[in-house]
This record gives sequence, C-alpha cells and structure tokens, in this order.
Amino acid sequence: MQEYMALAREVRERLGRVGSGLAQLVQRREDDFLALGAELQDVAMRVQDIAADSQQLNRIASGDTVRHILEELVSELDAMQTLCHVDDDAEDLAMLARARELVHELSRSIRDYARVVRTLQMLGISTRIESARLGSDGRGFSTLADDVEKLGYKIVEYSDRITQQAKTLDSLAEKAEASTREMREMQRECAYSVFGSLRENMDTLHEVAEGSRKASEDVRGHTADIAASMGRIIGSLQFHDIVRQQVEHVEEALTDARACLEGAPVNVPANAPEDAAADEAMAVELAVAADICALQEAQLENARVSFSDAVSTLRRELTAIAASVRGVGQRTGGFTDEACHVEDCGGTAVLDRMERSVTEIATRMLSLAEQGERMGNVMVEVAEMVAQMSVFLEDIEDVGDEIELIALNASIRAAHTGDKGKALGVLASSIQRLSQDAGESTMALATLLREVDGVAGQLKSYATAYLDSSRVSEISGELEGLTRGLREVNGEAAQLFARVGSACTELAARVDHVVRGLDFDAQVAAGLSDAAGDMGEMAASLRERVPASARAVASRRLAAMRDRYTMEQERVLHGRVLGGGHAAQDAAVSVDESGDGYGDNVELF
Amino acid sequence: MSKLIMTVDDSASIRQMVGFTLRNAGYEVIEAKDGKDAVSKLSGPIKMVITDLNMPNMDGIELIRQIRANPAYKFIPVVMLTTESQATRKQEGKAAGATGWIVKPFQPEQLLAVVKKVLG
Repeated sequence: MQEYMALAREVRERLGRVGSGLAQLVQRREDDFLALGAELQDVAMRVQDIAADSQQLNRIASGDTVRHILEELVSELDAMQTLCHVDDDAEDLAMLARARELVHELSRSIRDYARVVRTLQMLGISTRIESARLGSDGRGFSTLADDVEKLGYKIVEYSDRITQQAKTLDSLAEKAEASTREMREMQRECAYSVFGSLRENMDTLHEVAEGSRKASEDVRGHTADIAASMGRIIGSLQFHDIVRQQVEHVEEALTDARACLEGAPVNVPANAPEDAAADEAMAVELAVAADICALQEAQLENARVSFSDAVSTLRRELTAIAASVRGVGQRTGGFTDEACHVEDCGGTAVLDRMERSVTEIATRMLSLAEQGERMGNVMVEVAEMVAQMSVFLEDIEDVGDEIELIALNASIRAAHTGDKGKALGVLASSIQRLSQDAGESTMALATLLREVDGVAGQLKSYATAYLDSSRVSEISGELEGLTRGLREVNGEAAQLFARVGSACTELAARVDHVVRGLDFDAQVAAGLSDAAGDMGEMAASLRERVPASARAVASRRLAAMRDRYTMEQERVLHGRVLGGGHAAQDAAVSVDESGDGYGDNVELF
Repeated sequence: MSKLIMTVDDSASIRQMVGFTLRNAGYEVIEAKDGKDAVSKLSGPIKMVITDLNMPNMDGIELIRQIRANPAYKFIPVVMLTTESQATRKQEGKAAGATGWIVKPFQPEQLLAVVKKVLG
C-alpha cells in the first residue's frame, strides 16, 4: 500500500509539473502565428501589385502599342527604302553619261562642219575671182560670193556657240554625275547602314515582344506557384489552433490522470495496515495513469511532429515565394536584351536604341531630301542647257537650206552667163556637192540635237523627282510621331521596370528575413518533446511496477476515453497505443467518400 | 457588390486565415470570437456563417440553433469549420441546421469552392 501511495504521489506531482508547462507552450505562440498571418496578407497584396505591374510591362512589350509601332515602322521603312532605293540600273547616271557622249559627238560633228566652212570660204573666194574675171557679166556673182561668205561666217558663229554650250554642258553634266554619285552613296549608306541597324532593332523588338509573351506566361506560372504556396501556408498556419487543441486534450488527460490518483493520501504512516482491496484499486489507478502517460506521449509526439511540419512548410513555402518573387522580377522587363542584362542599363535598351535609330533615320532622310534638292537644281540646269541646244537645231537646218538655195542660185546664174560662165558652173556644181555634204552633216547634227532634246526631257523628269521632298517631309513627320510614341512607351516601361524590380527585390528580401526569423518551432518542439519524454518515462516506470491484472482493467477503462477526442488523428493514435482497432480506420478517412470533389475533409449536407 | 460572411472561431489565427482567404476572393468578412459574440453581431446583410464547433460561452451547435431561430437568418448557409470529425457530432450539427462540415485544416480553394456552392 505504502509503495503504491508513494508512487501515486510522485506521479501526481510529476504530471502536475508537465501539465503546467504545456498550457502556455503553444498558446503563447499565437502572436507569432498572427504576425506571420499579417505578414502573409501583406506579401499577398504586394505580390498582386507586382504581378499586375509585371503583366502590364509585359503587355506593353508585346501588346498593341508596340505592335502598332512595329507595323508603322515596317510600312515607313518600305516607303523610306523606296525613296532611298539604290537603282542598280542607275538610269539617271546613264542618262547623264549619254548627255556627255552626245556633247562629245556634237563637238566632233562641229569639227566636221569646219570642213564645210573652209570649202565655203574657198568657194566664196573662187566665186569672187571668177566674178572679177568676167567683169560686167559676172557682176551678179559677187552677190553670190557675199552670200557664200556670209553663210560661212554664220556657220562659224553657230559652231562656236554650240561648241561653247557643249563645253558648259559637259562641265555641268560632270558636276551632275558627281552629285548623283554622292547622292547614290548617301542612299546606299542610308539603306544599308541605318535601315540595317533599324531592321536589326526591329528584329530585336520582335524577339522582345515574343520573349515578353513567354515572360507573361512565366509570370503567370510564378503567380500561380505563389498562390499555391499561399494555400499551403494558410493550411499550415491553422496548425497553431490544431496543435493547441491537441495539447489542451493532453492537459485534460493529465488532469484526469491526476484525479484518478487523488485518492492517495499525502502522508501514509509507515505502520499503516495492509488493505488488499485498496492496494489493488490503487494499482489499477496507477495502471490507468501509465496508459494515459503512454497515450499522451504519442499525442505529444504527434503534436510535435505536426507543429514542426507546419513550421517547416511555412519556411519552405515562404522560401518558395521569395524565389518566385525573384522569378517574377527576372522575367519582367520585356525591353531588356542580353547586352542590357550584362550592362544593367535599366531594362529599356532596345527602345532607347530604336528611338535613336528612328531619329537618325529622320535626320538622314531630311539630309537626303536636301541633297536631292541640290541634285534636282543641277539637273534642271543641265536640262535647260540641253534644251537650249535644241534651239541650234533650227539654225543648223537653216544652214542646210541656205546652202541648197545658194547652190541653186549659182547654177541658174552660171546658165545665164553661157559659155563664159562655165567656170562658175563648176563652182555651182561644187556648191551643190557641198550642199549635199553639209546636208548630211546637218542631218547628223540634227539627229544628235534631237537626241539631246530627249535627254533633256528625261533629265527634267529626274530633276522633278529629286526636287519633290513632300514625301520625305511626310515620312519624317510620321517618324517623329513614332519616336514620340516610342518615347512614351519607353518612359512608361522604364518606370514600371524600375518599380517591379525594386518591389521584387524588397519583397524577396523581406520574405527571406521572415524565414530567418522563423525559429519559435524549436522551442515548442523541444517543450513538447521533453513533455513526451516525461510521459514515456512515467509510463514505462509505472508499467514495470504495477501488476498485469491491474493493467488489463486499466485498458478497458481507457477504451471509453477515445470518444472524448475531437480529432480523427487523436483517435487513430489512441487505437495504435492502446489497441481497439481504430488504426485500421486511418486509411479509410483519407478517402473522399462524398464524391463531391471538395476533398475528404468537406461534407455538404 | 461583395457578399458579407461571418467567421466565428475562438482562435484568432483561424479567423485571420478564413478572413484572408475570403477577402482575397472579394468577400467582406465580419469576425466573432465565439457563438455568443456571433449572435450579438448577427445583423445586417450577412449572407453566410462559417463557425467553429468547440468554443467558450456558446458552441457552434447552439449558434446554429440561434441563427435558425432568427427569421432574418433562418435560411442562410451555416458551415462548420472544426477539428471535430466524429460522425455523431456531424449528425448533431446537421440536425441543428448546419449546411456543411469542413474539418480543419482547410485549403483556401476548398473553402472558396464551398462558399461559392452554398451561396449559389
């Protein structure tokens, strides 16, 4: 009796000590859980803001604005390339070359004309000599000689004018050729250098837009991951309440155990009489206490594991959230490119470059237009000068007609003079032959001059095209509009990029800080573990010291205790520790029998 | 306009998690710390009650009875959210007028699916 009484007192006191420590062990952590919950709500709000900004940024990069700018740029580029088109046929240059050839041919033909002039001069002198020899009969021939001489002078004058004009024209055409080549070089540079660079940027922008679309998907993935982590965290945060209840149930069980042992007197005299019935009763109470201790050891161990798992899940999921937040930061900023990542240029390098390219193109286009204007003016000058040369055509044709008339006149006069005028007849024949030669030269010159006239018309049309800068001005204006649009998009994107970047960095660091501060589980786990250890020791010690008969009775009494649990897990543990077959139901409860798809822990009535 | 839901639990952390889940989904939430507190706050356009079972002062079953006795809230959905999973207690809740039973811990999507279902 004395032994059981002393044991009962010892156990009661020890149960009291364990129970009093348990009460506050989990309860006082509620503030930590509430602080974590508040932190989680704040994180969720920030994640929503970041995701919205990030998606907005990715929308900008792949959305309507940039698509519109791209389409406009493609269309403007086509128009600009038409304007800057470098014609491999180089018709204008060919035409200028032809003009210069014609000028050279004209110069040669004019030199042929000099022979006609010399013959005319000779014929004029011969006619004048023959006229003097004939005396009064040859008087009419002096007029003929005058006509021949005058015609010679006229041809010399025309030839000089044409030669002079040809020289000037050749010089102008040479200048026009040089300008055309310069313009062509500018066009080539414009086409291959600037447009090439812009096309490259456009390709990059296309890639960026595509990249942003993928980034949007990634951000959605990260956001979904964060939402899933949040869900698991919400599940874990409920374990404060669940474990608190488990520990409360342990406390209640310990109180019950202490109550069972209340019958043991505080001071039992050493010579107290033995009472077999009382002894047996106390042995049963001690066996009950042993079972309760064994049971609570399992419950406390389960509570410890649940609590530790819950906090581990919190730690793991918060770390996952920080990683996902960093992932959002890394997948945001569609306007960045590889170089930008290396140089840390603020995430809008592509737009910056595009803006610079478009501005440069607009400047180049205006410069081209100015050069075109200068070209056009030179062409106009060339064309006008060529046109002036066609005026000589009439003069040359007049010369041919005049020679013919003079030859006819000479033949008639020679016929009138009879035998005395035979020599003059020879002269008339020579003039006629000269007329034929001159006619051929005139025709050749006329042909050349007609061709020159055609070239003049063609050059005028080129000049008109060069002088028309209205399309360039129009395109330049449109490019300016696009640049403005790009600048606006760029500004908005840069602002969002900076905001998302700093928000992600700040939030991830903050979540990391929260994770580092998550250490209260160690203290709770240690407390629960110590209490479980105490329970285990007491259970083992008591079971060694009470008879098997008492333990059998105790097991029957504790079977009823199972119905006091609220949690399935507690009932399962009870079954495992004390028997009763409830462990078999463990698997059954994990099946969603309702079939409503809400989960095995949900039932709608 | 968002619907108003009352969450009743003696655990502040559970009230916080229920409130967080529902507010995130666009619902308005009113909190009560036990059945008695809930009855005193039962006014206005409350469309649903999510309550714990074991609470001081007034438990969840009694709260359901009080709600069902109030003509203004007689037909609103009342879902139990508790660690209790015993069939007899569920039956007791059902008899008192509970619309559904969720055993803790809940997952946000579960709770929202149930809320959506019972609120139509």
